[in-house]
Amino acid sequence: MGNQTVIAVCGKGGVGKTVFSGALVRVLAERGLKILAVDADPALGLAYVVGLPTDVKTLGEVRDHLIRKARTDRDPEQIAGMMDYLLLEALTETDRLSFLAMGRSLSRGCFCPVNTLLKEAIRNIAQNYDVVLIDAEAGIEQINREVMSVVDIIVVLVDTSQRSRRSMELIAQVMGDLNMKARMGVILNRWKDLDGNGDSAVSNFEALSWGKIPEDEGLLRNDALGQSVFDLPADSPILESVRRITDTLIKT
Amino acid sequence: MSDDGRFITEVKMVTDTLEMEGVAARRFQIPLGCEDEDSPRGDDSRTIIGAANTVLELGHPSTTSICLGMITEREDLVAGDGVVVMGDELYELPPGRHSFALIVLSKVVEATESSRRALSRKLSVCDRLSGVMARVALGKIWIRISQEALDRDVTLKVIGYQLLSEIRKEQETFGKTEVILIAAEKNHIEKLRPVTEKLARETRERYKTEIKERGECENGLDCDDCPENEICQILKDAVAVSRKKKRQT
Repeated sequence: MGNQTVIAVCGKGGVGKTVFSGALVRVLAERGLKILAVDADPALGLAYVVGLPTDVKTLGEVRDHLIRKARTDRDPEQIAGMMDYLLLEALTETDRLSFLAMGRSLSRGCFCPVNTLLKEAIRNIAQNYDVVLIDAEAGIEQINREVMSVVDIIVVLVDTSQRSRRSMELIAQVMGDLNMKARMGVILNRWKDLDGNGDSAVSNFEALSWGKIPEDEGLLRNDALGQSVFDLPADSPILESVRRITDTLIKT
Repeated sequence: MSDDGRFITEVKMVTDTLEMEGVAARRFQIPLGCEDEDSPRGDDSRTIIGAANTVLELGHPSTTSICLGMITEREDLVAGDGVVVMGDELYELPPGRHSFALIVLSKVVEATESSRRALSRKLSVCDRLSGVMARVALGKIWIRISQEALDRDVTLKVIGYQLLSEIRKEQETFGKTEVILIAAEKNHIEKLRPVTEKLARETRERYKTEIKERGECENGLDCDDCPENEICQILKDAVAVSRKKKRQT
């Protein structure tokens, strides 16, 4: 794989973004790619899904630390110097992936320069990976503001509901607002054949369809047992689907 | 809710006054679906037309320019799909810079910030016409028209058609839409200024409330008045130091 690919997974709440992101991490790891997974959900759902501890240092905490330092030490040199150190401290590295959690900052206020500082540091770290995968809590505006300005692929996870369609439209609108040039496509999650109605719902989407993922009882069982996506059997339906989707997303 | 009904009424009062003062108005109802077939299309890239190739400039920064996109849920405030050209047409204007206003009124299903932004994005699409450059910013519009465009019979009516047909592509968001293009004396265009300013103020206030509610900024993005300004300055300096270090390595 030559160039780095930045993928953001978006969609309305509860549509299954985090589990899909976890499955994608596993499939990308199987292909020998170096992955940086960014969990933009303060609940740290992705950490749990990929089997990492959830007590990691978050970028929200790094942000608070820098603001505190600016208040107390008031030394720009020192703040700039500690940036890489703090970010590496927040980076969880395993043999399968590296992981950054956005968390939530307790400092009220915009403090835009901190976001700039953090984004630049993330971009430096990200250069060392083949794929940066961002599990977005809300929309892509949060990613643009807090994580990375440039995203190559936006995956919108949808189900058969009309609300999903609306969320996809909103994401497309925000992409326009932010002048983002990413490729966008939809993946239909927990696919059920509703007497043909599901298919007609999909055909109404105005974005490219990158595939479907069926309901997977094995996944529910896995989740109930508190296991990670790396514990799923290799032939589980979700992994089979995500492998096909990955072929479309990334040409290795 | 961000319905611009009140401002649309004010704009209509201003345009009625302009007509009474002798600014001619030509109204075109468009048979939608076939309206822009004859329009000379350029590509979708952001064309730059240099000064040397420009014959007419509408709303150049040194002249007066107004650009307003307004949305309403009220059916009665938008007359119907159509283009109104007020003042002179392009072929009637002498070469050079002219004051200009572009106003788009659209009936929307839901008057939200999202539909407002969707309309704002459309306002500069007239530069998809070959030989036409358009830039929209902060309630202003600047259009450059080349000789090539004039030779291809680009007119304000065609520009209006183009804009209208682009807006009509999003039928789930936009209903009836009126596009008003005014090329007239500076003092005529300036009559729209109070509406622009009030609308901008209201939009800004709504945005401030929105970001305050999201907890992103307690001060409504008013950095000069923000109690954290000093801390932000230290952080900005840290960004500068960090960038300088990166350049050196």
